[in-house]
Amino acid sequence: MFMLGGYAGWLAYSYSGSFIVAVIVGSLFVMLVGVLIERVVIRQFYGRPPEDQLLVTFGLGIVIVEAVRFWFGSLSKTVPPPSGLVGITPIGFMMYPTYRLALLGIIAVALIVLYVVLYRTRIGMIVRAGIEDSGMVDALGIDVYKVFMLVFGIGSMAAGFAGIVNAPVVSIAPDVGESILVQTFVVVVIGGVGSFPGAVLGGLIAGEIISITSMFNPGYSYVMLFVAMTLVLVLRPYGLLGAAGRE
Amino acid sequence: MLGWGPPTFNADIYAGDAVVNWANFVSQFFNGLVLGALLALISSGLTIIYGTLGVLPRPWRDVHARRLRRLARL
Repeated sequence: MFMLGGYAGWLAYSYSGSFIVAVIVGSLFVMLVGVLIERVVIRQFYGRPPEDQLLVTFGLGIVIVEAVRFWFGSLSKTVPPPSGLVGITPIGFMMYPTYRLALLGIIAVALIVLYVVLYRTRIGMIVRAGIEDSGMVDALGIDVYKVFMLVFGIGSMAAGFAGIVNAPVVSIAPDVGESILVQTFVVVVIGGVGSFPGAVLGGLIAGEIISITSMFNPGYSYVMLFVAMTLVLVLRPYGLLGAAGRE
Repeated sequence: MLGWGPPTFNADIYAGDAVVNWANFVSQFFNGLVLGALLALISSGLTIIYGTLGVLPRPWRDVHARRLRRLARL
């Protein structure tokens, strides 16, 4: 979805020339794809073991990557940053790319919006209840399948949005999502499955581990990341902010 | 061997081929923040999806259940 968001945004940018249009179109397109996949494929796997659900999402990922490779080729695509965010900004004693600083702000705003949707709205309350106990949500007369569809839409949109806003930093290629997928899984395990604050905390921890380790020896950045994940799994098997007993 | 102490701008420490100094550290810290924020955004989507599906915690719950059963036998 990360890669698909990047490509959808790149396509929208190619036609419109506007970065904002690219972000909106890319995010909405990926949200629609996520909803479609949930309705057509994932729904058939709700009654199946969790391993099947994991495998089918991995399989879908491979299909999407190869379909994009077929249509767009293997050469990477670039999306330039908006004109006002080009160049470098002095921060004290160092210079830093302006778009990267802006990206930090953009993602912070996106995370706040996601937090407000999940924790301050009725829909978010139902989604969180669905994560905690979908059977109970169903028993309360709420269509749990619509909740699942909504969750897939929101989750896919978040990944798609990340894909397009990251496109000016890293050029888009069909396999751009592969490395980020591994890191994302580690973040989910570190933070705790189903925990939004855990994902944010885990993401920041993982990002710093990778980045700071790269300064000393890039070859060890993944090693340190997996060491951190192993430590978390040993000490807190449900993640830093995950709840024990959640299914 | 990397040293610890108050950071100075001129004190470059060579760790293999990498130059480790205060400016480089701050730059990498910001890079980590950007990467971390990006991972946080993607993971928040993934975590609510897998949380809803109930995919990942099960193996670790089972590990705990096995530990408890083993303790109960003792």
